[in-house]
Amino acid sequence: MTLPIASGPAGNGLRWKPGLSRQLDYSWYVIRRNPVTLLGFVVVTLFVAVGLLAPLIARRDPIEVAPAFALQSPCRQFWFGTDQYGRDVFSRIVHSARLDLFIALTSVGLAFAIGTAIGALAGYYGGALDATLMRLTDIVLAFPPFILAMGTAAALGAGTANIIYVVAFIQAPIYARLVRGEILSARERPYAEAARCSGNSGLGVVFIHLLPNCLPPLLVQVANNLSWAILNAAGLSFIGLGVRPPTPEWGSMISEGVQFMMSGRWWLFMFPGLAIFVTILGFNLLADGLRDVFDPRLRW
Amino acid sequence: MEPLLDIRGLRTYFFLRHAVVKAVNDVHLSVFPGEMVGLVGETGSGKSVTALSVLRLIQPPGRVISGEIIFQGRNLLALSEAEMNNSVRGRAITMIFQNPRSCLNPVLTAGTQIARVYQTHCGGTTRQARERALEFLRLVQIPDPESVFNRYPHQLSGGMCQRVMIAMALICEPALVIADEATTGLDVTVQDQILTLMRELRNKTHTAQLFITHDLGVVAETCDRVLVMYSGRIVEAGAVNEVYARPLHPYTSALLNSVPDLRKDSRPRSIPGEVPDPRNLPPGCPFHPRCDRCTDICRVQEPILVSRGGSRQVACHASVQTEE
Repeated sequence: MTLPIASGPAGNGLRWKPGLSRQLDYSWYVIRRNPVTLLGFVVVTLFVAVGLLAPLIARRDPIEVAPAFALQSPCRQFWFGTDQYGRDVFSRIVHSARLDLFIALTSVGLAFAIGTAIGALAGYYGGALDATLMRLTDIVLAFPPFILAMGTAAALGAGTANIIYVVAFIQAPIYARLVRGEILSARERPYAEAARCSGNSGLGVVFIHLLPNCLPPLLVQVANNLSWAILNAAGLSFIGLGVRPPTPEWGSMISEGVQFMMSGRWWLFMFPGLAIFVTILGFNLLADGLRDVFDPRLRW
Repeated sequence: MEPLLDIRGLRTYFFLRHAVVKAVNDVHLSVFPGEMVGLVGETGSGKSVTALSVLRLIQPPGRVISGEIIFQGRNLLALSEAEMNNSVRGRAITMIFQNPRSCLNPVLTAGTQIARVYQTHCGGTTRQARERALEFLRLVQIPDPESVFNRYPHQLSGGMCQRVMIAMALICEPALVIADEATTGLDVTVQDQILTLMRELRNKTHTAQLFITHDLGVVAETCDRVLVMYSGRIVEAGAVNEVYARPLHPYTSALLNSVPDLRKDSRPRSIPGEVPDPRNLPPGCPFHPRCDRCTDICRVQEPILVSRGGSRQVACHASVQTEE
């Protein structure tokens, strides 16, 4: 005997799309709908593109010294001018985008992985484990982030790898707190119980069933944290605790440039400053827009 | 015949700050292979806690205090957590819940979830699991299984979600399926389809089913045997037609009288009084404050479940006395 179908999509005329493509369609719709989000999206895309294609965009070697061209103001040959060693500022900014993109992605990725694991375990298992892990993250959160970053960077020593560790270290607790809260509410949902009933171990329930349901607010946080990571990397480099010269980095370019401020060589610090400003703004605008994409109340 | 599941003297208590809730208090029940057993009772009578105790999924502050749960010759309460996960939960005993939509993981497609259960317990490649999941979607009479496989729970109707849950519950060919209010959230036509489906599946696969419900009609329609629960105890047990025709426990007859009957002109009669506060149970028989056959002994001594010939059992002083 075949039962009649109570209700079902078969034959209701709706074209069905696979999940991912639907998701992308919707994301694109939200980004397009809000011009501010679109602006953020364009800036971030541009930043990523510049980072990836740096050697193709700026053909000049960013660290090649050419004393003959020292301290040229912006002109057709050197769009953003040259510094006191005759290095092309445009080329240095473009290559710095590549370095900053790398620092931002790796440090946020590291913070995300560590923080999420800590928060998920603390939230799901609760009790002493929760108390221990959360008090440890509280210790990190108790310090002003940049002061802590400076202290840790000073202890580890300057260098690109150390910047990544430092930024990851100060950001991981943010994810831990966020994920813990999300897991605490997700673990009480019926599907968590159903997952336990079908023989999933504790770790299986947490990482396969609960965590994917907690991702939306995390992704908004990721977009925000990417901009903080860039800001921190630039800040640390500015005070000499970050990327070591002669490697180009926006923060260290500004700090080298300020000594020429009085003599009116504005292009030395203005262009790297603008690069930081525009990139951070782009990430923040995008993060606001992403919140809309993931807000379930706006879903169809 | 050996029972498939034999619960002896199960007690599950919840230890609250100021009180102890005896949610399941000395429950004895058995389910035989291929049998459909109904477990009925009001909200808070301990039906679901009994089911969760069987799977050892009682969360603190709850705890199984004593008793034995013998399943296929093994005491489930003595198994390790890993053994429970590998050979019992989702494998030999599976569960179907109320609100099927919220019991499915919202971020995984229906098919992925079914296939995952199969791969976890029975191994096999992703492709084999997919084939098997499609086969079971067909078994639970889902039209166009290929397309349902790739949909998310929110894209399916409640009835479809319940069929997906049933497919998931059956894919490893368990010996026992526990359906906890499996049809409660569905409208009656879908409810009827699901019940018919469950009965057909029993005839095909010979899987024993424990139906937890507060709907006497559901039990009458699907089950071979019925157990009536009240305040954490089994108060009456027996074959469905016998119990419905001649209830022995006053609570069972009161329950049956409270079901509206369109053939008679009388209004359904409600049971006077309220379900006792589980933190503060009355002494003696927990039903005595609401019982019209209450005697002195009922107020002081708790009746035990005694056999009354065949499969029938009852826990009531009054009923035993009338017999004598």
